[in-house]
Amino acid sequence: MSDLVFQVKGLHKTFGRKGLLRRGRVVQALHGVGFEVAEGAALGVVGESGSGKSTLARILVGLEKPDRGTITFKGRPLGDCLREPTAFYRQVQFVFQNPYAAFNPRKRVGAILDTHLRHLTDLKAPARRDRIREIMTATQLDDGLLRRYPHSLSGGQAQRLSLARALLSRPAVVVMDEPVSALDVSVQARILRLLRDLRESFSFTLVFISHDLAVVDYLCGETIVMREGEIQERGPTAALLSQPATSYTLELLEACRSVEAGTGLSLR
Amino acid sequence: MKAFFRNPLTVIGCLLFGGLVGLALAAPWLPLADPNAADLRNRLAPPGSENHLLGTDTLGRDILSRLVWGTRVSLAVAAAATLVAAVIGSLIGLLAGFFRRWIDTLLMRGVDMVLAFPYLILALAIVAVLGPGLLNALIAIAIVNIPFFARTVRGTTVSIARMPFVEAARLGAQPRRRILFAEVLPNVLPVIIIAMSTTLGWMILETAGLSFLGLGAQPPQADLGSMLADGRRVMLVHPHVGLLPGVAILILVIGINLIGDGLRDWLDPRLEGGAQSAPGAATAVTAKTAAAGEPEPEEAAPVLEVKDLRVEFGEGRKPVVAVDGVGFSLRPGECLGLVGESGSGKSVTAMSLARLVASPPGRITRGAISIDGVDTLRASNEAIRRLRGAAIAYVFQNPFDSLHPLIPVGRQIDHTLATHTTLNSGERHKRILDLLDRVALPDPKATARALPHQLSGGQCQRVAIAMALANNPKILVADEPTTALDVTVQKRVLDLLARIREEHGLALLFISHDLGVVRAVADRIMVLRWGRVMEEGDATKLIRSPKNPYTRKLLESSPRLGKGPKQDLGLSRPEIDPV
Repeated sequence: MSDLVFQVKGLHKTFGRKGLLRRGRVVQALHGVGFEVAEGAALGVVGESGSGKSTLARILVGLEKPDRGTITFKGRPLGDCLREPTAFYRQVQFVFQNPYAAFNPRKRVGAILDTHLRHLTDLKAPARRDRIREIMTATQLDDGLLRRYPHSLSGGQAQRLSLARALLSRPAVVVMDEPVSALDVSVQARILRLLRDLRESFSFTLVFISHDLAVVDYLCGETIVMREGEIQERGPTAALLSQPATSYTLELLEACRSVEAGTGLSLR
Repeated sequence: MKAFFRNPLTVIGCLLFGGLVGLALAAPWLPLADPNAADLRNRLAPPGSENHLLGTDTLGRDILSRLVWGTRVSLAVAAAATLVAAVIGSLIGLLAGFFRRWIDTLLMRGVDMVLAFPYLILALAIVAVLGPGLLNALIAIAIVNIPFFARTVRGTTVSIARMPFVEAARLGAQPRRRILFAEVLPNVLPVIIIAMSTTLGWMILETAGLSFLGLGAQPPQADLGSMLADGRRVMLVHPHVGLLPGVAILILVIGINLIGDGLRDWLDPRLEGGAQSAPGAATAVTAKTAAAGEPEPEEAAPVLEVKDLRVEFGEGRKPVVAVDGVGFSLRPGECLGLVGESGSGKSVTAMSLARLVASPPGRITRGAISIDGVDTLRASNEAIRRLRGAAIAYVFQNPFDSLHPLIPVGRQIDHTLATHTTLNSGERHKRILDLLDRVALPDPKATARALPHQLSGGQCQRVAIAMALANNPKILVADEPTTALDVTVQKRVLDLLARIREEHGLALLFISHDLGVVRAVADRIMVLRWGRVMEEGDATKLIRSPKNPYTRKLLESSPRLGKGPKQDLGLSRPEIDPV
């Protein structure tokens, strides 16, 4: 039995009163969600838009606060951990969907990475430089990029840079919110392969949010299927794909397959 | 910097403003008369008199000298007031927009209180309390302008504080103060600078206004406003006394505003492409075009023919070629899939058909396009307009972007019908319900009354398809119509497109970055890269045995269920995956 990194119980989250004309409707993003993430695991969270998967990810890293429910990180309540942000974020990092939006457009790449490392660790300037070099190599980025501005990077480079930033402090856990959805397919494939390699060399626990079953299948040993703020199904990814227990998972799977194979749709 | 001076108006603004500022700054060294030396024998001398180039005022003081010294005073007061208002106002805006909650409420309600009083009256009241004088006038106009900065900066700060890069800084455990001043502020700065440039003109007017009323500069000190007040008394007999300071104010303010506009365009990254003007009605065609082929007397002649199309963007010596030598034809009932990654030119190709590429910066420099027998590259703007939405219709990636957010969707379809048909409103209404029914929307009547945000993404895309079908087009261009949708919804929309194509004998041009999706609907596939055709052929054959290495790469890179990217097929999963 390995140690638990995250333990989540009865998580509720609503986003209130969307617009005056809509009778004060409240959107229920999460509705009693509970699960655990074991150390070293790769957990995929799959669902369509509005299923609450992104909210879940943002709550795990402290970007949103849950309305109800408990979360512990390595046995300590998340709220306590967040009171010491330096210690927490050294261990837990996040990767955003849109790599360009995740970097300050007015700063050079090198400065962004250095600031990140400076606030998370006690490393001195030369040590930080070495660490940045090392990460750039690991994420297959050229050192020359350090002098560039984020908008001059390609989509693939920018997302590799996001991974590099997340891994700078050698975190124990990385939560990723649709990190490949905004990328072209060929770039997507390269990033996914890199992610696999990085997990091997840095051995971090991964929570991977995606709407794409195929991508999750490639990376994650275990998968949670979410729908309308609730967990529909959870289990080893292989089992989930071969014998989906709920009709929703089956529907997702079939939609994926038919688009992929082009069967059942073509008129010919 | 060159780009800053590209607009001639900006250059004029710089010359006007720069000239006056130069004069004002150089005042102590210029051979000017003492601006305050009265010479009662020489009162109200007309311009061009000896020793007084611009004449003298009611006390016989040299107007040119007073004008230069007065401009100096007015500018100094206005600049100082702008700076004070900008610093205090921006700080309030930054704090309120960044911290929100009670800080926001407290600060912004305070600002609202200042805003509740009519602006000039408030300034007058402040001067009345503090007493007349230039310094007090400065304080007054600085205070009344604080709300403008606070509100502008707060708005920008709120949107920037929600950006992922600010969240990323929080996830880097950076202190809040650092995030505000090192991450947010640099991105708000352009807004502050633009606001300052536009406010400076106002400030000059306001200083002049207060001085005109006798609350600013006190005699004998000259500033533009008090000179204006002096001139007013002799306006009818000696207009030059009041006119000259008036002209000086005019030139200053126009100069500042022109510079402000230039600054705004220069700092706005969206205008980097060089498009200074609004795009024209149709894409410009700059080359002698080859005649579009005569419609062949075949049974199923192509409804769409594209030959050797070349589209360029940008100006200057190095235009970007977005599409280069693309050609294809489409028969009724046929579906061609255009596949490529971002930047491959697939969307530009599609937009060029109805000459929808914004121009400037885009233009068609070669080729021929014929839609239903009409040579679109030679057709007039009016002919193109009649073609759009009638013979050729488009469905775009994001349905929420292509529908008007404030008009019920039924009425939006009605607009298309009213434009292209002679149906009366009753017939149109029936047709709308019929269209909505045909795209399988559950309750056509209710849907027609709904606003776009009340519908789901899939429903909106159906509405967009219904709208495209409204005038029985011969060609439907679907540009990534399912990319923004969830997989389950995606499948249903693809099904719908396939059905419609069959029922209407529609020629479908289907654009996607996803070979899997394209293969599901297309008879033929064309793969584009960097604006060039990589490979074209029968869909099944092309997927089964791609000839071009790039097509192969595209095929291999899409992750598949249970497989992952193909290159890894031989490898086992990494050990750390606990399966």
